[in-house]
Amino acid sequence: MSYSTGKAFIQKIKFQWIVSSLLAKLFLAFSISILTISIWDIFSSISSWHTVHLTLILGLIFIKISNILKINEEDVARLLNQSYPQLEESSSLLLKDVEKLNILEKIQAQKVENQLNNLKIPGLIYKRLKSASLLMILSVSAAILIGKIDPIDLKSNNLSISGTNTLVADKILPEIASVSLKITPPSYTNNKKRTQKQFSAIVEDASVLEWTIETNQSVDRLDFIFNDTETSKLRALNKSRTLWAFSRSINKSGFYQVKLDGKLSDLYKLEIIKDEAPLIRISSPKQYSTIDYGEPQRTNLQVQVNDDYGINEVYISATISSGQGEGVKFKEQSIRFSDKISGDKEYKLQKTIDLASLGMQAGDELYFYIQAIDSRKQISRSDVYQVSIQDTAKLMSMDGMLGGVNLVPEYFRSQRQIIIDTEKLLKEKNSLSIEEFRSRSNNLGIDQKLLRLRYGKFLGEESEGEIGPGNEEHEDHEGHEDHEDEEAGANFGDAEKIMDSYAHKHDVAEDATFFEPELKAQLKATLTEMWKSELRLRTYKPDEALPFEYKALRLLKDLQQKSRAYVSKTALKTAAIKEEKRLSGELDKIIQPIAEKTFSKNEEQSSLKKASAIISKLRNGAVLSRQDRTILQDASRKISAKAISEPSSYLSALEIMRKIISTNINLKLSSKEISMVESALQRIIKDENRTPQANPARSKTSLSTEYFKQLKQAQP
Amino acid sequence: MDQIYIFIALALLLAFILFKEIKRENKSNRILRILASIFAIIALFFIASPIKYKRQVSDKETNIAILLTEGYHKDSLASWKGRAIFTTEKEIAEKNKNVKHIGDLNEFLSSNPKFEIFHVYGYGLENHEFESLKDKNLIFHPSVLADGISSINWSKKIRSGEELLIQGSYNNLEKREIKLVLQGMGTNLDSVIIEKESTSFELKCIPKHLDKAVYSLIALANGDTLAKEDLPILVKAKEPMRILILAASPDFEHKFLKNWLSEQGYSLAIRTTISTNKFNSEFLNGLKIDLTRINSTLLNDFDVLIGDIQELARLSNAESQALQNQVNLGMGLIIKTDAIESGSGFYKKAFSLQENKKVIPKTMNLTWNGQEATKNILQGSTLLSIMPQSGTQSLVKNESGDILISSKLLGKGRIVLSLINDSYTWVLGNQLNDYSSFWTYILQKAGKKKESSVNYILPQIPILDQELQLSSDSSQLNINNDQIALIQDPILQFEQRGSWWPKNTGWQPIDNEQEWIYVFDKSAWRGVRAAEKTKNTKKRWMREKKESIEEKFANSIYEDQFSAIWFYILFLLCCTYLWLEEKLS
Repeated sequence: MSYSTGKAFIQKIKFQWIVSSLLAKLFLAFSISILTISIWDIFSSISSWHTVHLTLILGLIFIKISNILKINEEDVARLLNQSYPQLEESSSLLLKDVEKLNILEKIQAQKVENQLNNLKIPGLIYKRLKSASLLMILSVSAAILIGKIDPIDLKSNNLSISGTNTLVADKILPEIASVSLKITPPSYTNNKKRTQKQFSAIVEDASVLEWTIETNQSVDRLDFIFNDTETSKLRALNKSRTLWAFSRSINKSGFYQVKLDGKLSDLYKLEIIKDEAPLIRISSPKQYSTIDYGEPQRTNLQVQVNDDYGINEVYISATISSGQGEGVKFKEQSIRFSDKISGDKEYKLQKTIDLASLGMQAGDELYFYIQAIDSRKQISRSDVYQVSIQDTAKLMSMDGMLGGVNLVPEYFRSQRQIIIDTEKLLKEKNSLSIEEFRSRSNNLGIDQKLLRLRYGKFLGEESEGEIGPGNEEHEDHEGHEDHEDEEAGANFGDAEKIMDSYAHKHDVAEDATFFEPELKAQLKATLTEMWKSELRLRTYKPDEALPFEYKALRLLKDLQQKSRAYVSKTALKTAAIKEEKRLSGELDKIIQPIAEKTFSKNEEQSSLKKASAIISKLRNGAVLSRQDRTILQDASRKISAKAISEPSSYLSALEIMRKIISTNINLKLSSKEISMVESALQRIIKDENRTPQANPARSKTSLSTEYFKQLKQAQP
Repeated sequence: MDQIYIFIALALLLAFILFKEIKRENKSNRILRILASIFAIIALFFIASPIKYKRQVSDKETNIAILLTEGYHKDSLASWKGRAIFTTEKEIAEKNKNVKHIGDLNEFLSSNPKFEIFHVYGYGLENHEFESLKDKNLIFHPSVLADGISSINWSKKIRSGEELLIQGSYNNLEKREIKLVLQGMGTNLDSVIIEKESTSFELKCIPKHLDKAVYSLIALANGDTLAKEDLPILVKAKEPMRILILAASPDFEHKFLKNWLSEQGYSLAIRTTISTNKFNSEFLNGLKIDLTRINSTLLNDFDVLIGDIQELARLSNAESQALQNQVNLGMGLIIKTDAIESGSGFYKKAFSLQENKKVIPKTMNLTWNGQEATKNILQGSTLLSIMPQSGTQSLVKNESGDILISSKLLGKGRIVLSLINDSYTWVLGNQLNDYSSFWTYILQKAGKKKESSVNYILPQIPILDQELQLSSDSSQLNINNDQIALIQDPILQFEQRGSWWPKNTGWQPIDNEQEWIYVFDKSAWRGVRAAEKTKNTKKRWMREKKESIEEKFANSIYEDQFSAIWFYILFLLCCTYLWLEEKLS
């Protein structure tokens, strides 16, 4: 005997529970993904099929997390117990093996099974599904709404605010029934052909335009006038002379007019979208970088290249300069990036340039720039970047110190000595006992410290007790100790000398201006490097100290170069000048030059300025005089010249201007039209630099003049 | 004493009447008749000597008038219910039926002399109204100014290339963000955002037009236009200067200055010494004169003279004297020096120099006229500075406050001493803006002033149909073909005053287009005018109130009399009764 009906019921519930939970998770995943994809679509277009992928991925994750598939009969029984009190917490009895139940349990199971038959499936298992489906409905409707907001719409709205009226329909001549303008963009753009029913057009540079015009009556002659100057005749396609065609490649912005049997239309603009050259941005390395001793000899290059249509090629053009003076050699080579470049609009490229593999040695310099070529074969290149490897050998050379002024040679020698000693110590490391090695390293550290303190004095740092005047030379001149003592004895009676060694001489005039601030800053940097090197030496890590020692030496060298003043030697000796003969030559033959020149005044701007005032007068309905008209005509010509290069911002102003000039009476203009002409004129007029002008003063009879006169009389 | 006689006479009359009444045969209604007689006599007495009584409180109330002006608040009238409320403005009278409109204050006052105290509500009174109410007591209750621009000032007449500066304050009661936009010639030229309660603002631009134009100042809040006001601006053509340069030797400073000035179209003459008494003369943009001798006729042609101190020291005594005279008459003299010697001429004692024993920096920050620019210093130059002295005005300083260019008045003209001899480094460093601003400032400061032929003093905001006070120093004034009658000012004898009532809005020519005046519409700049009116009224009220109010309040207890008409009526009634009674009985 078993409780098969009860068990079957539980199993049924279990199945339905699992299915509904699965569905709920899927719905949830779907609603999240459809929202994500539709928002993504606003910023960059993406196929809506990606929703399916995202749903599947998210769904699997959710199912995995929530352990739906692990729902078993026990769970169902617990659910039933919770939802229906009449089961008396006993539905799990049905799941047990009949044989294992005791009598009481059997009776209870029987009772429960009877109860089960009367029960409905608990609503709790659909709760999740219900909320998930509600969420799905909401998100789908949201996605539809988002899809309705066309981002292109938004952008074009912005454009029309900023002055271009792309959305304004052309006014065409009544004789023209229809116009069809076929635009074939050049191949570099990868744009498709398109056809429009308007005269005004915005086209890619070097596009081919084909007009087909249908007139509603037979027309004798149809012309296009480009930029007010160039007239092109259209050809008739049919015998009734109602269908006309014309084609032309456009590579310059401008405007044109249709002339139909001598009747002129409005001006239509032709605007060019220029192809920009690729834009290269180098984020690493810095424009000038130096690789110091001990650093890895490679540089990491990170570049971003953008173009408006596509990039065909990007490469590094590198030049290595090696050698010095007359023996300098250059080697050029181009380095490719490992990424494949195949006409996308943006590339983020990275390359590690191994300087050693380029054959570079210490002292060599690498100059490189990035060159990018876009789909229209336009080339752009970045600035030149420079990476140099520090030449340690050069630092050690004495060349620079042989000639010229040697300001503080002993100190440099000491730093160099420390380096030599450190290198020697490192070489002998294996043959030395640890104690010996450590004590030598420590000694070097002390040397370094002394050196640092000595330089510190230049910066006005207080010297520490242990390098008093007596000890100062200690390290370098061990052999002279006795001698020095003698000297000290000899100076016993010399009060000033003794004073010198203890007194603090602040008021030495030379000290105060010994170094320029910039020099001092570098000296400080040198001291920092020395300090770092000392730290390593004292902690018995001479190998780590070496780079800092080198850097300190390099900075010191620079310092030395900076504080050096060359005076070139001249062998020539001139005779002493006789003062009485100076400037006493005969000048009567010398003519006095007179030069004269007249610059044309910038009248162009002032006529435009006058034109603006005349236009603004029209607001109050003023009548134009003949003189006003000539000024306006002149201004109109200037607007026309501007309209050829920038039709979208000047064409409408030009049209209104022509209307103003041609209409004699009853000129009716809206204030918006006047503003348009005014703002066009204001854009043409250049900003002015301030120039001196005579200040205005009140007339001779004014109070201040009176006051001045009285004052003068009082104080003769 | 008169009353006694009246009293005796009436008492006799009463005695007689009473006697007659008592003697009367018809005894009916005797009591009533006696009463009527007595009342009639009493009435007669009071007709002869009216009842007088003193009013203290009520007195004050009947002679109070309430005068409403623009901007009054309705709630403020609540405490004056049933009082006489007047206004001189038609609009107010039309809106409120309790308010009586007065055509003319003077006429009103002469017909209603009882009003002594005037409570003025709103923004205040016009000046002429004030004149009429001079003898009365005024109590001013100013209204809070409405939201909007409450003061404005702008340069109405500028010259091409100069900056247009607009300053004012905005009363922002609603505490929302307000954007003020300066719009002109179809373009937005400048804007400012006003956040706080009441802030002053400043807008500027360099107008790019010549002649007359009307800009507008627009107040926007959340895209709504709150106000749009006109700003008439007259831009005159440039007033170029004529400049003479005396150089001791050819150098870059003069070369660059020459190039810059001549490109701007200035008339320029340069005399460079090339040897003893040998000069190289250059003339740019017209003007060709012999430059070997400096005399007053030569200098008359120039507004400014720029000279090296060595070159000026070389001038003969006569030349130096001519130069001094010319400076006295208004010409500017810019002396350039790079050494501590102060020359020998009349300018010698004007300035004193000191040498700075400082390390010469590589660059220097110069400040002038609120502007700042960094200039490179050439190696080998010495650091000099001009010591501050009374009577001198420092023009250019460096960052540590050393004066590098200073000026001093001499007669009508001005002497400028400059220690900057390498301003051309700006041009080399492509900082032409700094260069032109620097030289504009120096030259403009030094340059001879251009005297206008006639001065006009015109009101700030002329309004249609409102009287304007004008003054000019010519004996004739003609605005838009209206000849204006002028009267000479008693103290400033050169000044002529007159008044004018504008009949049209817009630009009106003065004296054959020598000058222009823009007449605003009645609705223009309401806030500004209201603020101005409140300020004026307050000022005058504060000045006049103290003495008068207390005085008049002391006398304001004054006698009133009971109107005699009532006693006539009483007398008549009594007589009628006496007569009727006799007829009826």
